[in-house]
Amino acid sequence: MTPADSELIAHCLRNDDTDAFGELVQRHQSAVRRFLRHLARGDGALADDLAQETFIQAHRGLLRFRPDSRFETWLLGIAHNQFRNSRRRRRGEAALSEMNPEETALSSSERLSDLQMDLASAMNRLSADEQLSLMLSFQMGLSHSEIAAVLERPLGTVKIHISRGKERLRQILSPWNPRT
Amino acid sequence: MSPPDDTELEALLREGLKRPPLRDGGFTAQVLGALPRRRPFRHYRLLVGLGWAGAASGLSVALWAGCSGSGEASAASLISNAWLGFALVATLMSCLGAWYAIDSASRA
Repeated sequence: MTPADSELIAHCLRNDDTDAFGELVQRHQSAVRRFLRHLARGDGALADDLAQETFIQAHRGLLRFRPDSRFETWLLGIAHNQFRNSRRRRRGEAALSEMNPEETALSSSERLSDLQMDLASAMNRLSADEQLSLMLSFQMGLSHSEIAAVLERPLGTVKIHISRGKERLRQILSPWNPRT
Repeated sequence: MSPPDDTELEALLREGLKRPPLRDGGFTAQVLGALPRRRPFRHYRLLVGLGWAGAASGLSVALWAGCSGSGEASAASLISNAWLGFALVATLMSCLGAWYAIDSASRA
């Protein structure tokens, strides 16, 4: 049986166990890197650098982790802060805004189905906040309150972003028919 | 064609946003390699305490041995005094131990 995140964290704190932390990194690297790739609009190298920094910060701050929340939610919150700090540092660099999120992030290693391509292109027409909230909700399976915690936004704002995003998607996707 | 209802749209989002997990590809090893070293010596406070206690004892013995002699005549005998030599070495080692412990703790 694989140990729960909380057991691994306790092990890290008690014994300064790098293997236990390695197990945590391995479990959550995909979610953190994918989230950062979305934020970095497909810049995989930047996303991985920030993901590495996220895990280093998490390792330093393990004592601050509250066991009543999910470890992955806590990590995504750190990742979001890392991204915001890096964006502040890089403000003025135009490169990021010119990239197409899904195409750049996925073209080399992943093939998207027609549905995924259509949805990605529809999502690109939503605001960044709507995209992010929908992605955290439907791709990562976070609850609305977890999304609010990750993005440091009021719960009501997150609900509005999700509801508006869905409404706009409904309009954009109305002509979409998977059978054609 | 009518727009998808809420359940249909949510199912579409779940299916359409689903992505396979990213392969680790050495990422974990890279993170572990970049972690700062943590507390290489866990009981550094104890070592610092022992170091300073050793240094204080060494100095006390040296002072006691120095005070028990008198004038220049006793200086030569003091140097050859095994106890004094031992006390000075113990003082030096204790100081080095304390310095190492403080240095290790400050790097962690």
